[in-house]
Amino acid sequence: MLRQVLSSGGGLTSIQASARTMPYHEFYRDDFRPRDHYLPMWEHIQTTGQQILGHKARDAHLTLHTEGVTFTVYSENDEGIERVWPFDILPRIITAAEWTPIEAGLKQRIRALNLFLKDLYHGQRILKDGVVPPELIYRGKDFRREIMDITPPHDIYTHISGVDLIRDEAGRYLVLEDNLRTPSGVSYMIENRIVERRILPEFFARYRVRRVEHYPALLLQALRHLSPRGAEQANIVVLTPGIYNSAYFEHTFLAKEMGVELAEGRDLVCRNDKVYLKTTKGLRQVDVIYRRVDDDYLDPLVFRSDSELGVAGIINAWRAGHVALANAPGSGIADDKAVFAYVPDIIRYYLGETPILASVPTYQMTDHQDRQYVLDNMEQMVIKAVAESGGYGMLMGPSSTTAQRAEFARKIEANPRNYIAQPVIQLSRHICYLDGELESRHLDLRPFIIYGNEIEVVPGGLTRVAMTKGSLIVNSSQGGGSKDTWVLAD
Amino acid sequence: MRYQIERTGRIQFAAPAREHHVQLRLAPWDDDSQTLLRVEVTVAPEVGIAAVRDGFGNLVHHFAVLGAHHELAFRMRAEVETRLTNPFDFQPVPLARERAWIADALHQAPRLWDFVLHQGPLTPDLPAQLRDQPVPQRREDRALFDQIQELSAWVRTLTPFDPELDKPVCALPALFDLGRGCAADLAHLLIAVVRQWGVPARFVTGYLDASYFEPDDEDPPGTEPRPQRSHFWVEVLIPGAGWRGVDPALGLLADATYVRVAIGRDARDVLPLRQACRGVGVAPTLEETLSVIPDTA
Repeated sequence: MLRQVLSSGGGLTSIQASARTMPYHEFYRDDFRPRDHYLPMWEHIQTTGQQILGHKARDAHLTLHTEGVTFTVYSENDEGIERVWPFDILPRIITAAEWTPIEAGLKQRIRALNLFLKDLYHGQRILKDGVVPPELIYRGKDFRREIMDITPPHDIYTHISGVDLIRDEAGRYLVLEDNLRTPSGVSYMIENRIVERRILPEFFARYRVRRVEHYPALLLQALRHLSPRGAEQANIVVLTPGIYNSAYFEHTFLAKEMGVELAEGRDLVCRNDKVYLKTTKGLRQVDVIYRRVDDDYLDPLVFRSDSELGVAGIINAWRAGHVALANAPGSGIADDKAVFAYVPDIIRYYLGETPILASVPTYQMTDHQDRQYVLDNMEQMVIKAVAESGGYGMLMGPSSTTAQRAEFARKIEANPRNYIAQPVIQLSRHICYLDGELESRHLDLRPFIIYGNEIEVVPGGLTRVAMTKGSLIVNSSQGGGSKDTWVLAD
Repeated sequence: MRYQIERTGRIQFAAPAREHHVQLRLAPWDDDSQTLLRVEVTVAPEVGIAAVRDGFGNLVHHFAVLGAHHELAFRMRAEVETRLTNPFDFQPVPLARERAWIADALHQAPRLWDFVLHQGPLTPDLPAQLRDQPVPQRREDRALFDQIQELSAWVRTLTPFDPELDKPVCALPALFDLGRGCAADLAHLLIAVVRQWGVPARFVTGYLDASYFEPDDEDPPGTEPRPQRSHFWVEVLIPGAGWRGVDPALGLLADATYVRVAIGRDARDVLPLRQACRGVGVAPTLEETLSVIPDTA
């Protein structure tokens, strides 16, 4: 059965009906005039002349280049290409009225997903009550039975989350997917803002834009909160897989901004259930690890034994309560794309509340009817591997070839639990300044949520833009671009 | 039965190891069927040792040796009392209720799903036939426990047990190439079939009473006992009984002469020794001894 996950109004039929209409435009109204909140910016562009944007765009590219803001794109033959972070200078603007329900909806979602994780790794009440099928969890690639009954500090699993939002044809925000493992992109959100402020101060003079640059301070505060020896003594490190990771720039950026050490697995060592940083002055105990190494590679004694990126014994130290890991191992099961369909039920189950944010409808390939429907209508579907991210392992139905569809049909039949499908939603569009012209491109939004003493949603996020005309693929790893995202104070 | 168990191991490096992390699953379980009266683990060079329960409830000892060393020796000594003298001693569930009993157990304890759903290289999804023989299907007209024992015999016929086989556990196709298997191989094959029946089955490591290693009637007079070694078998969730140990290698049901050490989905969850070393080019060697002595006092 297709899980009907739209929380309020309309439902699936309206999405399917509206799929025939035009995508929502963030900037233009239906009469092709700018929306009210874009008028001050638009008037400024009209006054100064559009050609000035060309200079600004070059300045922005140069700034990002000299600052070394890069992203590594891996091609099929695994050769990494380091690119300057692609950035469009025209900001995306979100009004305070639009933001309020997004913020409330994200807080609600993250609170519920953390309760879900705690329950899955302890009493499993939600499985016993039949709200989420146990098979779904126990077939999930990211369910870590190795950490059963471990209680992380303050019962928090996802200290840092990124939730991808899109807008449907009616302009309604929908959750597309959750990223609860090691979501990346936050450094780019900040760099985008720094560049934008430098390049276009005149835009900022016309708006009251809420700050995002304090994200590292918020993160540091949240990480300190986790410290088993108390926030005052907290010794924090960022654990990176190293320079070959596509988000290495972000790891160095966050360590630098927080003023903490950037460490690789070989820089840390466990002894007597404590984790130490090897320094020139001897071993220094580490209290909190913001780890950007995947679960599989985190501890060769517990997960993959061939991992050289992790720290042997780190799970035992975490279990003993001597070190905090952010995010907690095992969090990935809650952002499994097949579990996604159950998030509205999860919210209702733990919080007794109606979900504030609607989600994109999701077809389960384990369900015979759903599967047949998807296989019959592959051209209208986005098909995703449940434990992949970054746009990998995905089929965009409308732009796929017959051979690609046949290949995915085979994969789905071979392992239905590994795939879900969603109807293609025409992502909203926004104007971008590309090669001297104003062009409309599709985009999404990844706001970041920090769970420390309380849950905070950073007002803004990473707006990712599909740089190719008509494309719906916005992932940075697939060559997508970005925009600064402004949330207005009033 | 009460047993004194001693297990030792010596790990040697060709070049000195500077950072060596070790995790041991050697100590017997402590639950309804057996009581762990005493356990002690020592290591040379001397380091702090911690004990935790892993995600399956197994007792795990772990430690790290950080100075340069060529050799590491460990010793686990335990005293355990096993109680399951008769595996048939339970109130059976009527045939018609068996499926419901298992469904209810899964409902009450969702963790059991791991032992139904897990498939991997060691316990794969099986084809309808193995070596030209149809894989037995579960029948509704016979008690599950009886069928499991027949299945255990089928596994042993399909792949004879070779007690001398000293090799790592292997995935099923390789097992059939060889034509015989060690205890872990047979256990995996049995598990793969039982899981296809929708019945929880788990992999068990443990120790056997010393008598299993004594020479038997077919051995020439004067034959020395074989060296004791770890054993591997299967536990199946039997309606009315709970977990019951089934040993396809020896064709027996586990009783008080079987000492359970660790349980998991397959052998990879319960490796007796897991270690990680930094800066060591060549894999270390391992020598082990085991002694399980019945306590007659």
